[in-house]
Formats: sequence, C-alpha cells, structure tokens
Amino acid sequence: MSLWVDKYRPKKFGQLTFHPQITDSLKSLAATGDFPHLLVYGPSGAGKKTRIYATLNELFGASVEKLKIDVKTFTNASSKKLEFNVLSSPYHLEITPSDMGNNDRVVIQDLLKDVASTEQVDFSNPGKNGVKHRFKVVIINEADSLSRDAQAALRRTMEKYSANIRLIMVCNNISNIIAPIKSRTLLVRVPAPSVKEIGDILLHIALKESVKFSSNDPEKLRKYVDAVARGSAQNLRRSMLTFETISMQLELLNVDNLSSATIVLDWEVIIQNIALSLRRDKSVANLAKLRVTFYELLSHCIPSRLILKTLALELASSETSHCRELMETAAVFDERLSLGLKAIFHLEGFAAKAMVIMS
Amino acid sequence: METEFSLHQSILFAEPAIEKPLEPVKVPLLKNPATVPSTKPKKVALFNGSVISLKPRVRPTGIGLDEKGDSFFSMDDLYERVRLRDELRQSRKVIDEAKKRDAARLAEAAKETAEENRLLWSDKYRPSSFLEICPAGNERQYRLVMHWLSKWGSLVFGNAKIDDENVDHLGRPLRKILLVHGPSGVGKTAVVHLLARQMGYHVEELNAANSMDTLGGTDADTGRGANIAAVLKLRVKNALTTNTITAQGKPTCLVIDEIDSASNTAEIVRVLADVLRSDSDNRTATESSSGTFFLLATKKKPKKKFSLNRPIICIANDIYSNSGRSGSANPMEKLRQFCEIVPFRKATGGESMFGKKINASAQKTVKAHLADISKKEKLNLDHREISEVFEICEGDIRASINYLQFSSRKLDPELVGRLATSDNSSNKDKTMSWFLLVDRLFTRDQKLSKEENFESVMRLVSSGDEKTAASGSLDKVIRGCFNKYLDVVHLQDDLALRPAMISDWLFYYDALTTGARDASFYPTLASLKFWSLFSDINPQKFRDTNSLVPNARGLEFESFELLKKNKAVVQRIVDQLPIETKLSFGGTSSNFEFYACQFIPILDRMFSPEIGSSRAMSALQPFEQALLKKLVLLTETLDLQLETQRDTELNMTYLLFAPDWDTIASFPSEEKYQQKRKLTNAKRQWLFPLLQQELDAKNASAQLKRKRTETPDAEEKGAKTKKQKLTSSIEYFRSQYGDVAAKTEAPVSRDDSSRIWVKYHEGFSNAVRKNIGWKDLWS
Repeated sequence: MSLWVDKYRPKKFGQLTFHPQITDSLKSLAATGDFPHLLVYGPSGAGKKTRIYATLNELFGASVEKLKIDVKTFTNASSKKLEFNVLSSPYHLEITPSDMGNNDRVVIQDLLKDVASTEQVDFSNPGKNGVKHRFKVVIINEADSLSRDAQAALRRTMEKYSANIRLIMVCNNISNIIAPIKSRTLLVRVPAPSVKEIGDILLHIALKESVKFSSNDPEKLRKYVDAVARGSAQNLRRSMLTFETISMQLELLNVDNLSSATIVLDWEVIIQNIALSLRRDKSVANLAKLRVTFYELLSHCIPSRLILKTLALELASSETSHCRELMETAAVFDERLSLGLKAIFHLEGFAAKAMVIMS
Repeated sequence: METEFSLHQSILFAEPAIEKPLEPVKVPLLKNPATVPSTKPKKVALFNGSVISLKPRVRPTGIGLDEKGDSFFSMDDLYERVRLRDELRQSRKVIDEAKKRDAARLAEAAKETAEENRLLWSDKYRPSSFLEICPAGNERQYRLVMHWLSKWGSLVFGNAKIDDENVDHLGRPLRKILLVHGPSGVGKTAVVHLLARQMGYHVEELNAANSMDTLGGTDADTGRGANIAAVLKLRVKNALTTNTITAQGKPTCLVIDEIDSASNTAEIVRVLADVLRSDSDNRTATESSSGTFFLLATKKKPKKKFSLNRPIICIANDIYSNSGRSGSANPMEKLRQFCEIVPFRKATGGESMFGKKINASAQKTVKAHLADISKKEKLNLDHREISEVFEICEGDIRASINYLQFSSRKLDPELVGRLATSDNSSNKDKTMSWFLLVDRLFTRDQKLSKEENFESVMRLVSSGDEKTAASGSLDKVIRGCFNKYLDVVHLQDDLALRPAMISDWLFYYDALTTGARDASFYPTLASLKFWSLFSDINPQKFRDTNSLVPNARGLEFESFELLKKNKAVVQRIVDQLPIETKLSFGGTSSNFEFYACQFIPILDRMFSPEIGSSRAMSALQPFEQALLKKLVLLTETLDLQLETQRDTELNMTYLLFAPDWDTIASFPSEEKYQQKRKLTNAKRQWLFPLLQQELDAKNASAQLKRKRTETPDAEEKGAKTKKQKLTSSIEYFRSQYGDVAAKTEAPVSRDDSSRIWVKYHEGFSNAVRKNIGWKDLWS
C-alpha cells in the first residue's frame, strides 16, 4: 500500500519514536513472555494499535503480521444467523464486537469460549526463555461501545479462561467500561503525541519521500509541520494523511503559507458555519434552518457526539465569556446523546440551549 | 336513465307519430253522444278531482249539415279508425317487447360497466400505444429505450443494420442488457412492455414474484441453492431461445422486473452474467472461425452454440441499492457493469446531480394526462384539484391515478375543497388519530381554565395510552410535535427559551423509550409538556403558514435512508482495503467515525488534484506523473472502479468512483455546492482517462510479466529434462518471444500505440495446454 500511514507504520519497539516510557514498560512486559489483560486507551491516532502490535511482534515474532480475515457465524437468541469478521493470525484474534450492535454479548461469549477451550500448542516457536506461549491473544476493538451485558459477560470469562486467553481491549475512553473490568486489567494510557513529536515524524517522512519545500530553513520547516499537526488536532494518523494529501496537491510546499498546511474538511466547515449562525441569529427560525443541517451531517455518517463536540469547542473558542456554561451544557447533552437514540432531539436541544446561554 | 330510454325508443321505432293523430279523432267520438242531447251547462268531475262545467256549443242553426254529418258514421272513417287502433295495439306490443329487451340489455350493460369499474384505473389507463404514453419529462429516456430495442431489429427481424459504432458485428447493441431504473410509478414497466410490444416482441416477464418459482415437479428441498440457480438459468435460457405458443410466432423479449427487490437478485444477476459470458465466448469463436484470428480451443469439443439474440431488459427502482448482506458484493454493482443504463425520473423535480430542480413541462404533461382521465371518468376536476392530487402523490403517476379512482367515489365539491385547503404539506395520513392528537396538543381551549384544559388534554393523551404507546404511535405524536413546535414558537415569540426547555423533556422521553424499560405511561408526559409550553388559543394561524423546516416530515426518513446508503458505501470501502492498511487505520472495525469523517474526505481530496498541464501522460510534468502513479496505485489497492453516469436531462456525463463516496464527502447544503460539483467533475474529466490508461497499461505489463516468468520456468524445465527439447522449434520461439517481451517491456509501458497484444487463453491449465509458436501467431 502506498499510503504513508501504512508505509511508515512502526512494526517493532525499536521503531517507535514517542512515549518512551510506555514503550519501555510494554517492552519489559513482553520480555517476560507473559502479560496480564490489558486495557489500552487514549485518543485516536495516538498509536495504541501500533504499540499493541509491536508488543505482539516482540512476543510471537513477525508471523503476527500474517493476517487473514475469517467470517464466523453465530446464532443469536432468536436463532437468527449473524456474520462476523474476525481478523486473525496464528497467535491472536482481533474482533470488533460493536459491529454486531445488540448481539455483541453472544459474540463475546461464543467466540471467547471457543478460543479458550482450545489450548494453544506451540512447538515451532519455543519463544524466549523457553516459555511456550500457551495462550492466545484476543484484541477487542472499540471496547467502550460494548454493551453492559457484553461487559458483564466478559467479566467472568476473563478470570475463568485466563490460562488460555489474554485480552487486549482498545478504546478511546474508559468511562463506559464497568469497574470490574477495569480492575481486572492493566490500564495503559496512550496520550496523543505532542505537536513536536508529530512534527518530527512528518519531517522524517518528508526527508524520505523527498518532499520539496519552498525554503529549507529548519525553523520555518518546523513551523510548517507543527501547523499540520495542530490542524489535525494532534492526531498522528490524520496528520500523516493530511500531509500526504498536501504534498500530492502541490509540487512545492510553501512554508511561509501556514494556512495551506491544514485541510479543513467539508463537514468541519459546516459545523463552523453552524457555530457562526448560532451566535449571529438567536431565533427559532434559525433553529429550524439548523435542523436541516444537523440532519445532513448525521446522514453523512458523522457521529452525533462528534458533531456536538466540534460544535461546542467551536462555540467555546469564540464565546469566551460563556465558555463554562457552554461546556457544561455540552457535557449534559453528550451524555444524553450516548444514552438516547434520537440524536436530532439532542443536537437541536443543545443549539437551543446555546442560544439561550449566549443571549 | 329516463332520457336515455326515450331517446332509445325514438330511434328504434320509425312511427311514433301514430298516437298523435288518434287523439283528435277520439275526442269527438266520445264526447259527442253525451253533449248532443242536453243544452244546459253540465258539471263534470274529472278524475283529478277538479270540476268543470261543460257548455253546449252554440252553433249557428243555419248549418244543419254539419251536425248531421257528425251523426252519420262514414264507413271509410270507421275502417280507418279500426285500422289505426289495430296498428296502435301492434306497436304497443312491439314497444313493450322492446322495453323488455331494453331492460335486459341495460341490466347487462350495467353489469359490464360494473366489471369495468372493477378494473383499477391504473390498469385501465395503462397506455396501449406509444402516443398514449404520458411524456412526464422522460421522452428522452423513452427514445433511448426504443433506440436500444431497434438495434436488435437487425438480428431478430432481419432489418437493415443500423450503422452505429455502438453495435457489434451482429448488429446488436454493445451492451446486451438494458437496465431501466427510476422511482416507482413513473411508468418504467408500462413503457418497457409497451415499447417491446410495439417493436414486435412478445414480452416474457420475470419478476420478484415469479423468479423464485421452480419448475413444476422439481423438488426444491434437496440441494436447494444450486437447484434454484439452475432452474433460474433454465428459465432465462428458455425465454431467450424458444418461442412460446402464446407469443404467436413473435420473438421473445425478456423483461426482468423489480430486479433489485427480488429475493434472489444475486442469483438472477449471476445467471445473466453467465448468459452474457457464454455469449461472448461464442462470439470470439465465431470470429475466429471466420479466419481472421487464431483458434485456441480447436481440440475442445464444439459446444452447442449459444448466442444471445433476444433483448433483455431489467427494471429496477434503485440500482445502487445494497439490500444484500453488507459483507458480500452488491449484485447490482455487478449488474451495472454490463448494462446500458437508462434512468427514469419523476416529474415533480427531477433530482439531477445538480440538486433538485422543478421540471415544469414534465409536470404539465402529467397533469394533462390526469385531466384527460378525469374527463373520461366525468370527475370534473379542475386544474387546481388535479395539481393537488399530483402533489399529494409526489409525482408518482400510478399513485395519482389510483388516488383519482378511489377518491372519485366521494369527490363532492366540498370534500375536494377541503382537500385543497388542508395543510399544505398534504400528508396522506392526515386523518389518522395521532395527527389529530398533535393538532390538539397545540390548541388551548379559550373557555376553560388552565387546569381544566390540562385535565382534558391529559385524559386525551392517557386514554389511548396503552394502545398508542404499544403500537408506537406515541412516537409519532412526539415526532409530530417535534416537527411542529418550531413553527408555533416562531409565530409566538421566536425566542429559543422554550425550545431549550422542551429539549430536557425530549431527552426524558428518549431515555424512557430507549431500551426495554417498562415505562409505558411516563413517556406521555413529554407530550403534555408540549401542550403546556406551546399550546395556543388560535392554532389556525400557524396551520396555514409554510413550515419553517422544509419537508419536516420527510426529513427524518430521508436522512435515515441516506445514512443507510452512506454506511453501505463506507462498509464497501472498508471491505476493499487491504488488511495491512486496515491495521494502520485501527483494525478491522468498521470504525465509521474515522472512515467517514477523515479517510473518505481526505481520499476525495487526493483524487481531485488540480487539472494538470496536459492530457497525455508523457507530456505531463514529472511531479504530475509521480502524482498520477501514486493515484493509480491507490485505485488499485482500494479496488476502485471508474464509472460514468449520464444525466439524460442535461446531457452531461458525470464521472464517479465505484463505491461512490460523493454522498459522504460533499454536502449539498453548502453555498458553493454547485460550483464545487462542476469543478470536481472537470477535474475528473482530466484525471479519469489518464488513470484508466495507466491502469490498463499496468494490467498489460502485469500480464506480460506473468508470461515472462512462465517462459523461464519452461526453459529451466526443458533444460533439466532434455537438452534436445530446447532445440525444438516451439521452445526456441518461445524463448525468443520472451526476449522480445523483455526488451520491449520498458518502452511499452509509456507508449500505447505501438504495443502488440497477444491474448492468452485465460483459464490456463495443463489439460488444455497447447504450445504456440510464432508460426501460429503470425501465419
């Protein structure tokens, strides 16, 4: 694959550049040949997955990267057949139970039992220190969107089958994870890389890919890549995608023009416009107009909570005097969005409340 | 009835005048004997009760002859009278008989009309000739269908070949299947059937209902999947190759209706693909047998020839539908590739790629069509009412006709008037109770106190509670209130204060109804809050105004549909990603947030670079070349297809990628949306040919490479086993050929015109392997 995100993804601990403490502790964890259940969390684009795979690589060797996709079928309570994609290597499985919506409990139970009941026999790779890996690793993506039932189902499984399974749960936020699971796992927080760290990586890539800049003044270069990193909200993945896109669009990157270093996506522009119109026109007629826009955003697969978050931050940055109330309201509505199903009610509600607060 | 009957009589009988001359004769005959003797006035009571006095006529006495003449009976007169009376009697009899006969006939006629009434008008007024089709803004499409069908004429009927670059050597259109799509009720099926019949075909229809039928006798239980596919294939082939008795010797035209909604779409498409494949195999065979090309499969048993020589037309509502399982490939996607696509559209506002626009002339024709029907059925609808019906049915012609028929029974002017003045969003459901309830929730009764009013509303809301909450109509009520309250507030004080308050209650409702909580009573409180916050004494004023939110009711559904579609697109793109890339994007998860919010928009940016300096790859600047190479690589790894879509209305061609992410990456509500669209299209006009060219070149060089790697293999083997074999002429030529390929390979990838192509038999296996030498190739 030609995308830089792919090309420059570190595969081993040695290639990881930032968060040295986390890398080190993971390394020492892997060195023992065994590890407890992990709960890795942090914002997206911070390198959670990369670190996990680096750990697996350290543990099992490069064959972890030999991946294939299996389709497993489950039957739920009403004997409906469900299909489910599982990414697997000889040593681990990767699942995203939230793909199954309400049926995630069935998937968790069946799959884990299935894996746990077969003991891993590993003759070919005796591993370091002569320890044979008798367990299989199961990576659970988006663990925060697991339903309560599924989490409760996990809880017992984690203890019962701990001889054969190691779980690595990945999520953005641990507030949705029930306490018993938190207590059964080793929490690893991977914070977003700093602007400088992202900048380093981007400069490294620019060097390798021979990206041309209008000036080679290191000071200016640094400023430029920092602008890229900041424009992508310190999301490394997005920064790399953005940087690649920019360098594809322009032959020569103008380091003096910092605004060219960011790509503001269409939906972000639209949310900015919403914030603008909310501040300008605090009438119900405007609210009605915004409803159409909200519907449009939602129908473009943009998660409602992301809309709310972006909008709230946008509002708060321009209305500094009401910042506190706005964020408080946004928090309330964020909870409502995650509890309820009818996103449009709450988005409009937030817009109305914001109008009241600002007027 | 009365008038009709009398009219009927007068035509039937030539001498109705007979009765009339009798009268004056009769009267004196009866009167005279009574009046002659008495000279006094006499009172006579008539049958109807009135009394008249009869005076004897005073006659001049001088003329006695006259009186005398009256007393004498002229025999001629008498005979005449008798004859007339007989005649009268006769004619009466005839009339009576005729009456009886008429009555019988009338009864029959009544029965007949009843029969006719039983027909749906949408069937009754189904066009039976090309001129009867209502244009509805689709004339171009009709012509396209006709044109496509007429191309088959040369093969099927032996007409003269149409000289066109779009036909193959047999005169068939290049794309052998026509795919007609469009919203329901615009006349796709009617037009296709009609045109096929007019061109002289017998229409064989396969639709969602009968496509699952198995042939009689075959047991579906054993080996079901394979069996059904086989049966289906048989059916299709039968339809294409045989003539049925009922067709009266006409050739068959296979029409597959509702192909997108059939439960076995995937199978139908597979069968169609099979048919096409077997046909194109056949074509190459016939071509090669004509001597110009080399023949590869000479050793194969000559299979029974099959050539597709009957047109196939598929009809679908939504060719981009993804009804299948999300994981599997979309059958419609496959179908689109080998079909000529003709999009039909509604007359209301053809939704072109450039947003919605109103097509006035198309609307006019539909309305004229409806007016015609109303005239024929004596509904006496005026223009306004017809456009009302048209609006209600949203341009769906079939629905409009149905609506006309079923409302015609009760279409009295009052009702029609109400229909026209009722709320302008004109929802068919307006009589339903939840709708009334929503209305009620926004009204406050002036006469009652606030408490009494609240009591009455509460009783109203909670009375139907058990039922309404269970059937989900409470949700409808809340939705209805939600759609309406902004309009109400807008006319009251236009402040955001109360909307902010109701949001808390809406959350309360949402939280209580989400999840299987047993709280059937409490959610109704939200609707009460709507009443207490927004109810108005005079609800009439906001009923008549235009809604602030255009299409408030449809919005929810539309956005849901779009979301579904977009999710399918995202899923498709995710499925196509290579595993390694997925890994660096955060795993197998269909992490919509990342893909929809970051990856796809950025991908869109990547694929819309500035228009380059030249249209030829070689003339591009090195930077642009590098860019293109990268894009080509990306298209390959993401398995993107380059597609074109034609807008027949504007006669423009749009270029898009096969998982069409435009609906995700672009927002029609943006101010510069139209410009952006045009710009994107222009960029793609430049990009696509280049991409395609590069992709083709890549495929080509890949094939060459494959061959090259094959050759050394063969050489090595040859060297190992026997040296002599290497000297055999074919091996020698092969190695020569490999060298040539190696030499030419590098320059070839740049230059398209001087490349030499050798098609190699694809399904290569040792069983049918045949060595080819230069002689075979160039003799």
